[in-house]
Amino acid sequence: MADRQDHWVFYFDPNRCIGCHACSISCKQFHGRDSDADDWRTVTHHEKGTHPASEEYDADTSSPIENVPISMSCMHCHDAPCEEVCPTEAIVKRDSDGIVTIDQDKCIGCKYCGWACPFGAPTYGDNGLMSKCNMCLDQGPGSGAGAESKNEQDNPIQPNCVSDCVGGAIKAGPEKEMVKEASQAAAERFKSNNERVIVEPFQGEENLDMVEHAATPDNAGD
Amino acid sequence: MSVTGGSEWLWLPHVHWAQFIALYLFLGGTAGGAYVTSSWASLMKSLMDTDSWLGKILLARTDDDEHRYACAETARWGSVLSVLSIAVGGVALLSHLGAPLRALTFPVLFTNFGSWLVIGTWVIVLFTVVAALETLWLHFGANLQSQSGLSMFPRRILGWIDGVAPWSADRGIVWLLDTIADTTRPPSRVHGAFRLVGGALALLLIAYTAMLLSDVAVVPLWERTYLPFIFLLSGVSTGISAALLGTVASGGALTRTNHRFCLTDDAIIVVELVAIGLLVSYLASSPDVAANVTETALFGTYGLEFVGGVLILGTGLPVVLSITVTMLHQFTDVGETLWGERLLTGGYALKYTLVLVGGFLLRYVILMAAVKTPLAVPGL
Amino acid sequence: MTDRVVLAAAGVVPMSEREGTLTRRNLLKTAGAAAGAAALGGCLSGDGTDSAPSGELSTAFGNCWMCSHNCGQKAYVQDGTVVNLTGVDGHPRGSAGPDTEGTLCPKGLAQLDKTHDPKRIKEPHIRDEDGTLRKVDWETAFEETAKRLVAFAEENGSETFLDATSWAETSIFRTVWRDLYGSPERISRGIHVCAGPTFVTGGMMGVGSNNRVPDYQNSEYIIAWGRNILNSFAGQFEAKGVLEAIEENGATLVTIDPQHTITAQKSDEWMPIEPRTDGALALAMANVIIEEELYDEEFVENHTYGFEAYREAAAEMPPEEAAEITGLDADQIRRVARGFAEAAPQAGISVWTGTAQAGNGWKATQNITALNGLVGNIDRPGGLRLWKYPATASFGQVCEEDYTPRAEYKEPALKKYDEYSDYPVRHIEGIAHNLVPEMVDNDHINGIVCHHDDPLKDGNADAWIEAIEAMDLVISIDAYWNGVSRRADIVLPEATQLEKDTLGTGNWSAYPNHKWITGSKAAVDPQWNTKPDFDILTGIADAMAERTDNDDWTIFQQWDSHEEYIDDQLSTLDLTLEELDSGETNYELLEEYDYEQYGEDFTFRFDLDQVSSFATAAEEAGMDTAPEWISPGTYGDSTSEEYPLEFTDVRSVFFSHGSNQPHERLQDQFAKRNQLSEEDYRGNYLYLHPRDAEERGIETGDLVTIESKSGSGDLMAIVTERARPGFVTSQYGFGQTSAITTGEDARERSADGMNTMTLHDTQMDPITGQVDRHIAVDVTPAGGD
Ligand SMILES: Nc1nc2c(c(=O)[nH]1)N[C@H]1C(S)=C(S)[C@@H](COP(=O)(O)OP(=O)(O)OC[C@H]3O[C@@H](n4cnc5c(=O)[nH]c(N)nc54)[C@H](O)[C@@H]3O)O[C@H]1N2
Ligand SMILES: Nc1nc2c(c(=O)[nH]1)N[C@H]1C(S)=C(S)[C@@H](COP(=O)(O)OP(=O)(O)OC[C@H]3O[C@@H](n4cnc5c(=O)[nH]c(N)nc54)[C@H](O)[C@@H]3O)O[C@H]1N2
Ligand code: SF4
Ligand code: SF4
Ligand code: SF4
Ligand code: SF4
Ligand code: SF4
Ligand SMILES: [Mo]
Repeated sequence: MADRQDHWVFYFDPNRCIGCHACSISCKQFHGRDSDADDWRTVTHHEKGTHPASEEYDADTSSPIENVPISMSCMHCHDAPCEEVCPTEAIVKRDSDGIVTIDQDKCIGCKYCGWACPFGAPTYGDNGLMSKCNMCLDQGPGSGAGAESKNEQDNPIQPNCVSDCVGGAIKAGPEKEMVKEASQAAAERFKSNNERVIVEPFQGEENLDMVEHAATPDNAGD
Repeated sequence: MSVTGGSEWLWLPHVHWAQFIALYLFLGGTAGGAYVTSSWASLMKSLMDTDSWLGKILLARTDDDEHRYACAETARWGSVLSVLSIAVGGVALLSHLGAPLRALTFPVLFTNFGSWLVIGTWVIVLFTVVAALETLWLHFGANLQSQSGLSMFPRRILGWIDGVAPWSADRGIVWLLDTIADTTRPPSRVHGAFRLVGGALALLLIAYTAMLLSDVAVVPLWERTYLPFIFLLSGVSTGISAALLGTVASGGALTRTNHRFCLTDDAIIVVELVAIGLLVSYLASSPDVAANVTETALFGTYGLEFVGGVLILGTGLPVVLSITVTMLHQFTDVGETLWGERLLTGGYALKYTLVLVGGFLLRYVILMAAVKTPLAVPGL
Repeated sequence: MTDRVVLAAAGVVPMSEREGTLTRRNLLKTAGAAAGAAALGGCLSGDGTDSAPSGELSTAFGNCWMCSHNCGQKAYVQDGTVVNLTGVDGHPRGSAGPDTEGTLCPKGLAQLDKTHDPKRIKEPHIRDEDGTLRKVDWETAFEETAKRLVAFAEENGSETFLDATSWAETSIFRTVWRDLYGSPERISRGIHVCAGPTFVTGGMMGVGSNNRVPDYQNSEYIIAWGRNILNSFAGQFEAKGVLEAIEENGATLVTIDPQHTITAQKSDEWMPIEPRTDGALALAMANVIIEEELYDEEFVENHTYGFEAYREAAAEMPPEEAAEITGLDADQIRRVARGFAEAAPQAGISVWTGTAQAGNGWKATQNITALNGLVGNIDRPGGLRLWKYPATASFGQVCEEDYTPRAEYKEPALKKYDEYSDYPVRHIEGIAHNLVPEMVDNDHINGIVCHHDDPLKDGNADAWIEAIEAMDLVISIDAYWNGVSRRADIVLPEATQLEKDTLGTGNWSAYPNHKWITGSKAAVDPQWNTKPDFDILTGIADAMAERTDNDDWTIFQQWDSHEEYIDDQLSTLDLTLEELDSGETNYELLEEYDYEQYGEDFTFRFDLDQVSSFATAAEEAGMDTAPEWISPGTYGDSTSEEYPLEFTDVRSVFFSHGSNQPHERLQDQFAKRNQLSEEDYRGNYLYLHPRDAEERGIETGDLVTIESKSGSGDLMAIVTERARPGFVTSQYGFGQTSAITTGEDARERSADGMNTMTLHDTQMDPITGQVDRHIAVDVTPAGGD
């Protein structure tokens, strides 16, 4: 049995996410999924506050407008609630690398996993069968089930969304490596939070200094 | 994303279990409840048949022919409706699946015995077998040939088929089923024990529909403390209503059988209402925003279905109706006239129908108003 | 209610996914198989994920040209189909520098779909006598092009032909149109429609157009002034550089923008300025910096000119007064001025379009760029970097044959004819975008060649459409059916970037101390019957040689291929395309260059009185040569009772101007990003503040009509606090005239959204002719949703 430390996890730094959706597009393209299919990696935007120039805004009491992007996919949860409810064991949390795979040949499309998942990761396509992020073990819906451990592959495919994350906000790898990338606060939260995903604390204005770690030349690139 | 209570939450997209699953959950509950009703009615009938002391305590009189007839009808209605419910419910369930045919290979495919979906599947299968046997024994057999009563409709339908079919009516389906029923019918003690097992399965069937939902930890509406209890009560209540609606149709509205079942049903509904109240107050007091949003959904988006459908039409009104009708029946002589008898019969029929509608809407609302606990958005 | 509750109420279960594909839609081929699998999908057989393409997977490089900024691409190719795209690690434009991951932004990723996009123009087309565009083969297309060019020159004179070639991936465009055909008229994105004031003030003040991109990586204080760097990056290194500076240097990020943007979101300070008042803010900052003696006296003393005039102008703008004008807080103005000056020289300003696309944009950018001279951050680490290009060989250097440059002594009409004597811009520029329709009316322009350019979205749209229709000859070299190609006489379909050899270089990058170069060979063949731009131009040249007997047109025959020509260009660097394209990466870091290489004599000009062309233009326009405050409306629109809102257009991270709107993936994610993906609508959105929306009875998702005194259009509204009250914005590049979603068979079918420039007339910066895109408008419900 592989060490828990070798289980692959995602790392997300909301401070670096610029909400560009490259990750969603990259995932879809890599897995040959049409534009109108549900995203395995979603980017959502969350808004709160008031425009400082609006009449309702009061510098002492109002919070200025914020719009925060969040990128999410299946987190390959340590406790994988989806796996627990799946009647057919189509969903497997792999011992070898911790990746949660889905074998579409076993799926009956009951959508139970969709309810159980705390991240809204499972999607159901035209065929009604579950598909979701497989950490790019292989390409296509339902692929990757039974694939060799990421930790043993000679040249494991780097998750495509990570390869294309413009802000450098998402990373993926064995827990031991990802924890190294994380701030202490993030690592602690990861431990106390079911060890599902490492998320950096958001650095608001308060803690600014938390730095822890062919055209003619004249107008080229107008 | 405009969400009451602020948008600093990441509301999770949902995979909907909509009308079909609601129908299935409802019919599953009703099937279980109808079976329990059938068993209870059979028990009472056999108590009357044996003229036992227990019968005297429970029924006060054991020589009431109408009562005996109504008991027999209720037992038959309960059994046949439990089979029909589970069959229709099963089709509803399958039709929702992405790969329905694949699901039929469940004995091989369903390997995760920790999943309530698997436990439930086996409960359904066993229950269906038990309920089907019960239906066979209650409807078929040589000495049932002359039985009258609307509940015997399966016999009549099959008999009609035998009549128009190319085979001899004497050796037709009815004959076959009669023969099978008579050769398999267990002695009454064994049958009693069998019903006990069946009753347990029936209750498990009802409860499992709630266990299935409440195993999902991220939906506050599906709270394990309350939901199984609510579903159990509602399942038994709708089961009684379904079976007794049959009995009423068979002309047993004014019997003591109906009277007693109806009052039992009322008592269950009242407890159910209390349980629903507890669930709602749990939602209201929960620190989880999803619980609060759910509460808003129950009284807002699904206000019509929940308040109007479940709380008023489906539970409150039936109890009021039932008490009114019972009072009229017991303490006045309305039931003596033909017109009055019709009125009371209609009253009971309406009550049971409303309970059934309410039972369905309860499942529907429980599914549709289910909001998942959102994720907190860092920074907001 | 939550979305899902609402959704559930509507009985909507989002379900759409195609199964049976291991890779992308190359598998259009296997669509039949997939459909079969889908039919079985509900059964026992699984969903048949067995239809993988059979060919070997190979990799190739590319230089992303979706927004034309050369981020390195790694393409995975199978059976002649691009099946995946990612970035090139450490790439100067596509990464944050050495040892960092190279990535592709959403636009760059869409090159995968673009390469095989069936909506592209697939064949050459010629408009025949009766006015219909007909498919022809390339030979006919070239012959016909030459025939009509010759006829045009005879009838109208080649000096009335307008060269509107834009994002070229080869450098021979100018040779063909200016030198060989003889057209002195050239309109290009840069000065004319992008940010004239930024580039021209930069040039005149002594820093060139390097005021756009500071040395992010070494900076401790970055001001995004009217820039949305984390959304509109010119190469991803910009966004990455800013994020790195924040993380590694603890840099302070300040965004000056009327509307809330992702850059504002990530900033320590957001200054939600009243639009078009940046000139006042910049002077007030100078006021604080000078008053508190925070400026670089030594630099000012040794390297600047006109400080006194600057000091006087700044003295007249104390923060309190600027606060009045800009709607900002005086304390914040002081804080940012101090922060910037104290961090200097490791403090940089990025300024580009936000302050330039306005009538008073000249003064805004002059005042802003002046701040660099004041704090002396010029060519110092973390400040305004004087970026340099590597010395590839020019056309003149590599061309071994002689030819006569035919446009050399031809004066552009704007300078030549009296009709334009009221436009100060004629002293600075050869043409102004907004004046082209007038020049067509005057018969001073009678034809156009458009390449990777859509002037119809840039300004004065309705007049431009008429002008295009009135021209005698319209040649379009394009990949899509846009407003020009649909109206053209000759349509030459271009192969897109991964289908051709490319060479890229530029100045700014993630390597502040290196010149660099990047190149790639075609990853796949030109799709359908298309050709790379080099081949199209040389094809035209050959046909011209044949028709005119002028040997000058044969000069391209010395190269057998674009690659050969590129190798010649690279010869000065001792490189070949083959060398660039092979190995782990497709870029090369060249000569190192240090900071402060400007030498003793370098002068940064605060006052531009020494630049005589400008002095003349300024005088005619009624402005001073030194920094000064000029209020909005002096040269452009003012809001009025009839048009009480101010409009300007903006960018989205999914689109590059008007060039990739047809890509479904980008459209869909754009709609998702705006939380309106459930609507069928896939056009641009109008963002307006709740107050303005409420007054007009408008809600998110409503179709609204926006109207100015010169035009109107319909688009979908989004009501948000991110919009500044009184200020409405929308993405440009949409609507009928842009490259639209419909294919060749439905050319005139409308696209969602609107061309924002139908609202525009001839408002411009009088000095550079830069289109002024701040327009007085009103918005009303369009009566639908
Ligand atoms: N995704 C994407 N990226 C691109 C491009 C693209 O088309 N798409 N184009 C590339 C090109 S060619 C260019 S020139 C650059 C341009 O890059 P930017 O100049 O960063 O372009 P915009 O994103 O339009 O940002 C301009 C900002 O100015 C603000 N603004 C408007 N009026 C005023 C004003 O009066 N004062 C101030 N202070 N701000 C104002 C707008 O709200 C807007 O947020 O982007 C490059 N990158
Ligand atoms: N309203 C408004 N207009 C603006 C701006 C603004 O802020 N607002 N910003 C301006 C700025 S900063 C700039 S730099 C300019 C740039 O503007 P342009 O130079 O016009 O460039 P694009 O709009 O990117 O591309 C124009 C056309 O290129 C075609 N095209 C796409 N791909 C290819 C290809 O591979 N090959 C060929 N041959 N053609 C292709 C498409 O049909 C598209 O319509 O826009 C300016 N226009
Ligand atoms: S995120 Fe959801 S689908 Fe993924 S492992 Fe966790 S529970 Fe399962
Ligand atoms: S939908 Fe498929 S994967 Fe999900 S729980 Fe049901 S059978 Fe398992
Ligand atoms: S790891 Fe692969 S499958 Fe998962 S979200 Fe990223 S790109 Fe998609
Ligand atoms: S690609 Fe990276 S920066 Fe862009 S939205 Fe996705 S996670 Fe955020
Ligand atoms: S910024 Fe994006 S679109 Fe522009 S060149 Fe880079 S990857 Fe391509
Ligand atoms: Mo530009």
